[in-house]
Amino acid sequence: MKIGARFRSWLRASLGRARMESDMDRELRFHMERRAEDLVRGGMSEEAARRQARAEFGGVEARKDECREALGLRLVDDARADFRYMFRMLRQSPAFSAVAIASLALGIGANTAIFTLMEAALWKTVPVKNPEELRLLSWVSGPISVMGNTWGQWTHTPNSSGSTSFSYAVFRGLQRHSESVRNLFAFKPAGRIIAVIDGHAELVTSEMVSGNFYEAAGVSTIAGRPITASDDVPGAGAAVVISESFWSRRFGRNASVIGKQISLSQVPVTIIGVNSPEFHGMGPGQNPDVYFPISAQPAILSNQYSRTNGSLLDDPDSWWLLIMARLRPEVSESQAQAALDVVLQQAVRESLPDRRKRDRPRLQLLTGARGLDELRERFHKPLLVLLALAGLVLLIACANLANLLLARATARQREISVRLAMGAGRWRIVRQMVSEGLVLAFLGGTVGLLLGYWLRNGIPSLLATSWSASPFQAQFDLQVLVLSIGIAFLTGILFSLAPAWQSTRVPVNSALKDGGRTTMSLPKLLAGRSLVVLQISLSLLLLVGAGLFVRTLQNLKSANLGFRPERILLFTIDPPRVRYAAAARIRLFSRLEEQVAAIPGIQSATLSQDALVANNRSTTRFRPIGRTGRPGDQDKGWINFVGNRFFETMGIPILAGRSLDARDRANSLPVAVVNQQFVRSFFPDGEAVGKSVVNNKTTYQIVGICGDALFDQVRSPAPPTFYKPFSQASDVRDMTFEIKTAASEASIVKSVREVVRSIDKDLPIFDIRTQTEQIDATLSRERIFAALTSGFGLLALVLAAVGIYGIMAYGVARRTSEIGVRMALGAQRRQVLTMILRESALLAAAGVAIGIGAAVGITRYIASMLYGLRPSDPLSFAGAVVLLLAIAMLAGWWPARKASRLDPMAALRHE
Amino acid sequence: MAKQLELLQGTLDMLILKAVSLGPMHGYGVLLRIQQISKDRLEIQQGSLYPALYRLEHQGLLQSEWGESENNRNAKYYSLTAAGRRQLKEETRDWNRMADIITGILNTVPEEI
Repeated sequence: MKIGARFRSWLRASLGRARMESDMDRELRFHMERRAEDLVRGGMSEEAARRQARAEFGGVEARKDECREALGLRLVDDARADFRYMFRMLRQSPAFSAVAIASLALGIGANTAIFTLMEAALWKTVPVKNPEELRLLSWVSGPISVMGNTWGQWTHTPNSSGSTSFSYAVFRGLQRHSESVRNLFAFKPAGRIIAVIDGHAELVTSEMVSGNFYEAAGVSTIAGRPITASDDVPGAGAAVVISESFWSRRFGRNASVIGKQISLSQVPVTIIGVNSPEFHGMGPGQNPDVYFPISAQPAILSNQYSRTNGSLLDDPDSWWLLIMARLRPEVSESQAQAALDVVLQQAVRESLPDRRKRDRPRLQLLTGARGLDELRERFHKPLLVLLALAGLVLLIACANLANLLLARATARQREISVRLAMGAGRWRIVRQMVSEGLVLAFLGGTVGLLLGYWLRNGIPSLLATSWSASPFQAQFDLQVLVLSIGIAFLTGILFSLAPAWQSTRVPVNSALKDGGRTTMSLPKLLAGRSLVVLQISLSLLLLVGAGLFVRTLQNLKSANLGFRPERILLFTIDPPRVRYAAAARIRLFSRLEEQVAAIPGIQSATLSQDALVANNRSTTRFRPIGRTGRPGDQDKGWINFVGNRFFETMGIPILAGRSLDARDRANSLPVAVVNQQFVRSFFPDGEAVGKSVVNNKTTYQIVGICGDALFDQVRSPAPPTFYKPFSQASDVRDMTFEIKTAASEASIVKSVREVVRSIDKDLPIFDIRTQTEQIDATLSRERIFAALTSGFGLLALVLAAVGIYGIMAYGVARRTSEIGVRMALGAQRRQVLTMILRESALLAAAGVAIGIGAAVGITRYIASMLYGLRPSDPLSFAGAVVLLLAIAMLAGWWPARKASRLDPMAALRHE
Repeated sequence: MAKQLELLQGTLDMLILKAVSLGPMHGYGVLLRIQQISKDRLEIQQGSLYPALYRLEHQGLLQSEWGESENNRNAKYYSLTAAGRRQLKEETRDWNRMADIITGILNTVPEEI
């Protein structure tokens, strides 16, 4: 209670400070006036009475201070004085302040931006109820997995295979015996499908969910109702829920959307609800537009690989569903895993009775708090590397500031000695210097936060392309804010503590005597110099990193593709299976190929199932006729389904035999063109034209050999590739058209749209991009790294220059008299110049040497991120060293020249 | 006039509380009242009165209010809070006990040991 009273009193006094001061003034004046009146009444003259009253009262200001202290205002007043003093000091040296604040802002800004990304990519939990209770089911088995097809993430090594995908039969089996967990639900991101809304066809992203998904995951709707178990039964009129953002974007948040009929892949469905805005689907960075029940899969998302007429529900051999369970508090995770594993074994035995000889899958529970954690794998290491680099930048900025503050503390040595001599506490001086550092950190941190906020979507937007959104949106939330403020605070303490502590160790007498003029306090300069050496070595590290990543990007960009990407326009068409399956699909694409090729202004047009360098890979097994032995991994080849003019359009040379042409039709002899790598893998004697290979029970005759062209990405060399005319395929996926044209993109796209619309008005063309843009998109990570590391390197270079300049200029200023003596004794200007330059060269050399050692040790951890060079790439190292030494000499040149131009007489008189 | 005694350390707060307990009073009035009651035998530093008043108010033992003084001037009047009244009672009791003990000790004669 007493503490409460004190706090209230303190608060009142500090908030109503002006009023409190004037009240105190009036009160004391009243006292003295009344005393004087009493004295006058006692017979004193008025003048004398006033003097007497003041004298009896004592020092008014001292009393006021005591009163303030009694109210607990002393600490506030001291801090306020400190801050005032500090702002005055900062204003007095604007160059120092600007460098300090800018370097801190960049360091903190970089860290904030990276933290924002890390939060989005690695830490954010999926927005459902109690996400930490969720577990994602997965399985691992020996290399010969029990199922025929998987759709989704799949890992395969010579000794094992594993996935997070399950068949619908297994899901039902698990659901029937799920007593060990609270509930079990399934979902599957279903990609882009064609929606027709009010007669207008467009692409929407979709996710399939089990009937209990909304209830089990704890996802709510803000309008209408969620999908329930009664929606997830075969034959139920498909009900869909749309996302809040789709509701806003497409329907203007109109409430009448509930009950509206739209069609998905030509299947009529009814919108029954709108998700709450927090829910963005089960994968981070995804935001599906529509959610439909799993039971609608055969109709909406008929699957070409399913053996049961497009239905994944009836095909126990297709494993595709993602399953999550919510743990019961009373059942341990390992118990739940063991119980579910038993059910899995039984479900597999029942649904795939003929697979006794294959490896049994074992169930494993993975954390489900982040939903489908696909971003982690892709971005975990790159983000850690970036964070380390941003941390280095911040460390350099700190070293720089510590150095600048150290130099200033030394310059203020005399002032501090005077204050110490006059009775200022050492603690008070340390506090003052630390609060100076904190003010700098606060200003730098504020600018840095703004910078980080401004940059927060810079990196994600570098991952986006003109035709697809970024995989994640960084959100600037409280966590990031707190983290950044924490960093700013820590750095402020860190870089001001050392100089502050050192400045109070000044022996008062000696400092006062010589005014800190002639002594070269060795430890002090040593501290400054080691900070500069540290700074240079860290800068070298960043520069080497920048060199490695820039050269990696260069190498990737100049890599031999094996085809000519210039002036090729790409777009994709994915006809709905309800209308176009199997033969009808092939006929549609043939017709499209023919009519698109006929558009005026198009040199050559073709299409392929996999666009080149788009991270798509399709592999299968081949057996050359005549080869015997067990099929194995060595038989693996890559396959692409292409149009007749594919090689001509893409500029892939035909080296032997012929290209595909009009002779190759659906009912003619199956043929293929293979690349040189394929010949090397399957026909070691080099003779391939005219030979036959078997794939998927069909025998193909090889009619031509083409040059090696890259398939999925620039980093992988051309794989053994088998090009088969799509017209001879029994079915295809979505197909990407490649159009070689000199005409403008806009006019060609317009003509293409007209052609497609004339064939089917509900067929959208999408992912319109050039082949060059397509290749660039696969290099987005490398581009981000090259850009960021170059930026960091440049920043480090500037800071290193500031650091060297600072320490040298300070050294020259301190040694003015010494230099004067040298010159008076006959030292030449050149000698003085070299003396000073030698010193900065020595500093730089020491830093560079340490930096090289560190870089050699560290760069091997990023070896896997490089391309076409080793982590000890001599060119990157040499470039960094030369650049840093040049900058060091340049930064040292200015003070050195100033020293060499000193007038010896003036220097000797220098105080 | 009798010789003035210097105030014992720590007793000023108690005297102020007592003076104010006799009725709300401004700072100068507190001074006069103490001097009047003590018949001018105590020497009080006038300036030290105010830090003590502020301290007591800060501790929640006194409360203050601006009011009109005898000759129509504004003055800050202090009065006792409930906590102040309790504190005064406690301190008075403690003081009396202490005084008894000290007196007892000081009046001791050799035979009594």
